[in-house]
Formats: sequence, C-alpha cells, structure tokens
Amino acid sequence: MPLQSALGEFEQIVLLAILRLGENAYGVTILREIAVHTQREPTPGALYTTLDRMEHKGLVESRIGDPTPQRGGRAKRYFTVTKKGRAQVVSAQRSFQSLLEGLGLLESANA
Amino acid sequence: MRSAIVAEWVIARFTDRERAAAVVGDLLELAPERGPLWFWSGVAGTVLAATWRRLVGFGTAYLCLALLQWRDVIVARRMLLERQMIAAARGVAALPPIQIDLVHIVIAVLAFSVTVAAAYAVICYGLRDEFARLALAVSAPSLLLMFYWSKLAVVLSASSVLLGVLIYFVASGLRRRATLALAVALVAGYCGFRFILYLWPWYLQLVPLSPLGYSLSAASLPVLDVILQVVACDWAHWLVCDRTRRPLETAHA
Repeated sequence: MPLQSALGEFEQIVLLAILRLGENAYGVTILREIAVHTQREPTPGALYTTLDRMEHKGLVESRIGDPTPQRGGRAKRYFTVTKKGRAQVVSAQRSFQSLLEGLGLLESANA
Repeated sequence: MRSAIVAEWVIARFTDRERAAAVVGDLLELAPERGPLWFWSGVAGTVLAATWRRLVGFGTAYLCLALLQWRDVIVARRMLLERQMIAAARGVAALPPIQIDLVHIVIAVLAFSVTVAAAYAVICYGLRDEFARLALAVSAPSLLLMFYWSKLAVVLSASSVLLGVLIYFVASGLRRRATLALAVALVAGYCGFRFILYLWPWYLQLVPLSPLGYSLSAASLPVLDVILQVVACDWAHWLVCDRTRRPLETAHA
C-alpha cells in the first residue's frame, strides 16, 4: 500500500488526539490528551505551530467558542479534523499496520 | 491579569488577535497548576515557534547574497588584473572598456534575486512547497548562466533546463500558481530595490561618513535588498498560494 500522506509523527499524534476528544478539542485538552497517552509533554508553541500548519494544509478546521471567565474572558479555539485530515491519518496508520504485520512486536512487548 | 494583556499583545504581533487571545486563554487556564514561569516560557515558546523559521530564513538569504557578492568581487578583481597584464604586454596605458551585455545584466539580477528567494523559501515554507521548489529549480540554472555567460555550451544547457523547469511548472494548476507567485515576488522585490536606490542619494546626505570615510549606511544596502526580497516573497506567497488554496482544500474535504 503506498504511503500517500506526508504527515509527521507529531502531526499524527495531534490529529489522533483531536479525533479522540471530539467536540472538546482545544489547546489545553489536546495538550493533556497527548501527555496522558504518550507520556510526553509537548510545548504550547510546538502545538500551536503544528495546529496552524495543519489548518493551512486543510487537515483541521477551527472555530472560536464563547469567552469564559476562567480564561480572563478569552474564547477557546476548538479544532476538528477534516475529511482530508482523517483520510491522511488513516493512510499513515494503515502503512504502519502493514509494516508491523507478521513481526509480532506488539505481542512480545505485551507479554 | 495585566501580564495576560501584555502576553496577548506580544503574541498578537506575530499572529491575528483572535488566535493570540485563544493561545493566552489556554496558557491562563494551565497557569494556576504550573506557575507564572511556565506561563511566560509558554509565551516565549509560542513567539519563537512562530518566528524562528523567518529569522533563520532571512539569515540564510543574506548569507547567500553575501557569498554571491564576494564571488563577484573576486571575479572582478581577477579580470582587472588580467586586463592590466594584457595592457602592459601590449604597451598601452589601458584597454578599451568592456561592453556589458544587457541580457547578462538582466540574468544576473534574476539570479541574485531568485537565489535569495530560494534560500528564504526553502527554510520558511519547506521543500514540499511548490514556490520553494520552483525558486530552487530556477536559481541553479540562473546562477550557471550568470557565472558562465561566455561559455556557449553552459548557456545552452542552462537555458534548456530553465525552459524545461518553467514549462513543467506552468503545465499544472497548483504549480502555475507558484510560478505566478515567484514572478510577482521577484518583480515586487526588484521594483522595491530600484525605489530604494532612487532614494539612496538623499538618504546618504543624512548619514555622515565615519572618520575613515567608510559609510555604514552603504553597508546596509544589501540588508535592505534582502529584507525587500523576503517581504515580497511572503506577500506573493500569501497572495497567490495561501489565499487561493484554502477554499479549494475545504471544497475537496
């Protein structure tokens, strides 16, 4: 299967985190979701640059929510993955699955 | 609260106000559990992440221009020396002045500008960007044409490559946009530089020479040239590639 997407590793992590969070994906929740599942804490600067780049590439879309007092009256910027983004992350993951097939690495790591 | 306003103002210098407010809102939400130092390092990191490519791109573009100019000075000195030796051998005071070909001047200007644009575009937009690819593909044959203008074989091969690259890029929609963007950037950069040169005599009168007769204002001319070219690149890239691409991509999504 050809590797159609040209997604970087961090881009895939961010896209998967947004997909997991559904309607509640904004900067803070994305950072927390990544930290929980990857045991690494990305810097806010790296996350916002990646989100902007992916929005520019049409992989994610953003909308501005309502202002909240706990954020000093500042609105949240919510992200959703577009069809193109979903297709690219699926393509990249299929390629990884295809490469992993038959190696038994996951089974031996779990054992 | 005041620090949040300052942080928002700082970040808004590098992105739009809505995004800056959302970023500061996120940082404020996490600040109570992580502390003020984390908040300010988050602000600094966001600004750095938004600007480092442009700073490095500008530095590289300036370095490329400096290297080309340095090579030009060496070639000019060598030619002068050769002409002095020929004149001495012939027993004349000086040889007649060299006739500079107008086409060669145009190619030299194109080669300098497109090399600066390529260095900046490769770092800022990445090698996957069509604008950066085109600038890089055009700069190599242009430089060959400029440096080996007197060698017919090189001129013919480099011209063929240049023509091939242009045909390849004009043939498809997305690449055609990149070609238009690069053309706009080069023309805008060149016109801007000519305008600065037009204003230069007035500017020089305002800045006194150093005691050694050296003018720092003259040294700033290449920096201004690179600034104009990279600003023109950003503007043309945004105008032709970014602004027109988004609706297309969302339509396909």
